[in-house]
This record gives sequence, C-alpha cells and structure tokens, in this order.
Amino acid sequence: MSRPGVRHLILLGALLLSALLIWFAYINCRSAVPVTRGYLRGIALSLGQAIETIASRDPSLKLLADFRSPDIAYFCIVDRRGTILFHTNPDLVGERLEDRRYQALLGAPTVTEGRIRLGTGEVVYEFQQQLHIAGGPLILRLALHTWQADRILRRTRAGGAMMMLLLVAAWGFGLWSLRLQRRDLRRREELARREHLARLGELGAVLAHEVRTPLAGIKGYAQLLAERPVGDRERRYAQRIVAESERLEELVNDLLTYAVQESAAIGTAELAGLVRGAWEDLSAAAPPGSPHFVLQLSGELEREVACVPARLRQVLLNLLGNARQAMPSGGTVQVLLDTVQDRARVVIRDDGSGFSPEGLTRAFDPFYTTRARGSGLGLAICRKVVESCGGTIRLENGGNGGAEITLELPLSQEGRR
Amino acid sequence: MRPPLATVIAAALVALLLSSTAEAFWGFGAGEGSGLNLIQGYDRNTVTTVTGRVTASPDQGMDPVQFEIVAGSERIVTVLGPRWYLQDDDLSWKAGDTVTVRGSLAQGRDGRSYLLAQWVTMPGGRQLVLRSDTGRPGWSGGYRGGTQGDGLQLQRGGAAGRRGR
Repeated sequence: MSRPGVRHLILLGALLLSALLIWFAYINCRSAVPVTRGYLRGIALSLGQAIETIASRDPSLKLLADFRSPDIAYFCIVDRRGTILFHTNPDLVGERLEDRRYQALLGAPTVTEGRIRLGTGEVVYEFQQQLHIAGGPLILRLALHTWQADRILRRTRAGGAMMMLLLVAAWGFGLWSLRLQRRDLRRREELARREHLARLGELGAVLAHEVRTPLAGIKGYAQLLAERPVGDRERRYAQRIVAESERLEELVNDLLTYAVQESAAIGTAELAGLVRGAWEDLSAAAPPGSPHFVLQLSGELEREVACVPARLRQVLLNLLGNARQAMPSGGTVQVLLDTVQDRARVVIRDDGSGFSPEGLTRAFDPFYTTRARGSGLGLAICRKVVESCGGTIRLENGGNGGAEITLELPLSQEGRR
Repeated sequence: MRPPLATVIAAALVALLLSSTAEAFWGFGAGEGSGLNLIQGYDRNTVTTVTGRVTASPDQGMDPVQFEIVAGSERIVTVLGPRWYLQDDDLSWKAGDTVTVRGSLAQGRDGRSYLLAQWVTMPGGRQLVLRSDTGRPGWSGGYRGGTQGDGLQLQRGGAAGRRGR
C-alpha cells in the first residue's frame, strides 16, 4: 500500500478509537445518573417504610421526633389538606404546606421524586409517598441530602474528563510527532534535491566546457560555408548548422550559468530600471512581425535590492521572456513592485494560459520544459540566482488564469532610513 | 508569528486543568465551595437547634464569619453573617466553649454541614440574634438583630440602617 494510503488508514483507526472512547465515556456518564437516582430511591423507600412503621405504632406521631438519619435533610407528614401533622422542625406543625406538590399523591397511591432547591441553596432529593395508617392515608415528604449519592456521579464524570484529557493529550502528541516527522522528511528531501542539483550542475559544467570549444569550430566553419558562393541547398544546410550551433551555444551558456556556485548577494541593483532595460532588450530582439506586447510597471521600492545586477537582469530576462512566450497573440505583462517588511516584492503577471498542475510543482526542476525547443533551465537558473541573493521565488496561477510569479528579495541596507 | 503547535497544545492542557480545581477534577470533593447561599439563604424546613463545642475561635477576617463546632460525632460549620455586620461584635468564643446554635442546617457541595445561624449563645450566656424567626437576616434591613439575656435585650446599633453601611 502507498504511504498516503497507510497514513490515511492510521488516521482513520485513530479517529475510530477516539470516537469509541468518547462514546464509552458518554455512556458511562449517562448510566451514572440512573444509578444515583436508584441509590437515593432505595434509601428513601427504606426510610419511608421505617417511618410508616413508627407512625402505625404511634398515631400521635410523637415517636417520630427521635427518628434520625444522616441522609435526611428534613421530613414531614401532611394530611389531605396539606396541614402539617409532623415535621422535623416542630415549629411548623399545624401550618399548611405552601406548595402543591403533595397533591400529586392524593388521587393515586404512587410516589413522586425529584430534586428541588431549598432556601439555603442546597439541592435535595424530594421523595413523597402515601402512608397507610389508621385514620386515613397521609402523605410523607422526605428530603434527602444528595452529596453522598452524587459522589458516584462526580467520580464517573471525573473519570470521563480524565479520559478526554488523555485523549486530547494523545492527539496533541500524535500531531506534534507527525509534524516533526514531516518536517524531517521535507528537510531530507530538500537536502537530497540540493545534492542532486549540485551534481547535475557539476556534470553540466564539465559537459559545457568540453562541448564549447568544438562547438565554436563547427559554428565558425558553418558560417564560412554559408558565406561562400556555393549552391543554394549547401548554403541552406550551412545556415541550419549555424542556427543549431547557436542554440547549442545558448544551452551551454545556460548550463555554465546554472553551474556557477558564487553568491549573487554582492552588490545592489535598482530593480525598476532593470525591469525596463530587460523589457527593452526583449522587444529589440523580437523578430519583425512579432505580436504586440505592453509592459505595465507599477509601484516603487524604498531602496535598491541586495543582488548582483547582471544576475538579476538575467532572471528578469527569463521571467519576462517566459511571460511573452505564454501569450502567442501578444498582451500585457504586469510588473508590480512593493516593499514588504524590509524586502522587495516583485509580482510578474501575464494573460497567458497559466501553469498546468504538473508545471506548478516541477517548473523549477532543471531540464523540465513544456516547449519543444526549450532547454528547461530558465526557471531553474532564476530560482538559483534568487536563492543565492537570499530571496524566494514562487509561482501560481493568477485569478484571471495567467501565470503569476512572485519574487521576494532582500533590500540593500544602504540608504536605510 | 504563529505559535508552535507544542505551545498551543500545552496551553490547552493547562487551561483544561485550571478550569476546575484539582479536588473537583479527581472527584474527591465538589471543589466549588459549599454551593450554598450562606448570606441570604435560610429554610425553615431544616431549622434545628444544635449544642456543641467550639473547635477554634471564629476568624473575623473571613467573610461570612463562621466557626466550627463539634456536636456528637458531627462537625458543623456555623455561619453567623457578613463580616461588615459583625465587625463591632466581640465574638470571643474559645476552643472548647460550649455553644447552642439555632439555625437552618444544610449540606454543602463539599460534603460539609453548614448551620446558617438564627441565634447563637454567647460566652456570657446571652444570645446573639442574627435572624428573625422566619429567617430574615438582620443585615438585609427590616429586622434588627440584637443580643439578649437575663431579660435584657440590647438593640444592635440603636437604629435601623446602621448595618446598611
């Protein structure tokens, strides 16, 4: 199975396990509520039975004054009209209950139960039942403290909270280690890429040196042949040899440029002037009958950028040339200059068809090209120069569909305000 | 700048732990105090009279003023009233003194028993009356508490409203 597949499977397993734990904690907490209620009901029934027994033996209810239990907040016995016949606070005997909750038991020999808040702020479990004693059915109201019973609930909730905490911690550490792993993987990939590019550059430099000298000879002899009075066919062949030699020469020059290891961060360059100069050079080199292109340069920089002007000019020539080539029928190339946090930002936009999804990821790879006669080194050289200046380059497709390349370059420290 | 993920996770865990006290978190107590209305709370249903021994002199720096008594095997926190209301009173109980307290008994969410006093006997034998028979506290106005004993009643403050400062 592929690595992303395994990763998704692990993630799915972790999610399922988490969901299972959450469900278990939830069910556990929910089941604690009826357990607590059952515990309180059991105590209330036992106490109610004991009170009924005492009341049956002593219809004056005086013996109940000695009935004690630590679970009882208070209890009272009332008749059908709500008159208190007995109360744990004797001062209330003879008064009538102000609430009507006892009336629920007048019609049916059932019990009622629930939690109510007393005037002290304490929440008690109130249990009411009929007492079948001589002189007619009476109603017992029993209020029990809930703290002891609620310990079950509290412990269950604490267990659930602990489980959630551990789950959150496990997810946190899992995501953290995953992030570290991914960072490490990216670092290793970048290192491998740089090593690969360095080897490629060295190889290219060797090849370029070896090819350059014989290529100069081939080109010179072909030029001589093309200028001699020979037949048209031979002249055409010689001109083709010269053209192909010039293309090979460009490739060799690109390879040598790419192989250069020197830093480009020495020196300063006035970016707007370089953009205009590169654009003029491209326009001048365009063959007659080429489509019409317009440069829209806007914005300005606070200072010059810290980069060798010649290398930066090469970058601009490549990027502006690519933009022109992306618009076969002509169009507008926008260049926006801006200063962002002590860095120069240059955005180059065109109205072409933009990058393909593959192009977006591979455009900076050496020798990757979508053109039949391209060397595939243009953007690779751009990246190398920009990074050697301490800058960054990224590409994306703009909102209007064209390509958008953003350079960020360090500003020169000279002339800093 | 975005904070590192580890910092965010650590902060979340700390916040979760701090959201409840350790006691409540581990389930060994409510951890939220008594949960009772100690100043205004009173319920006539739970009124009782308790006689016990004082375990320590009342700390008048606490609000509300309270002290613990032992009655039989039970420890009861006797709550007298707000500090400002009792600041001029000589609450000179000492550990071991026997007191009788009438008040509304309640169990707090911390599992302790609280007696919201209506009156309490003073060391000299007089009664410190804090609430009316219906439980209306002296510090809420409309009722003036006092000390009484040997047929003598001493009006507290001399005039209604003194306690309202």
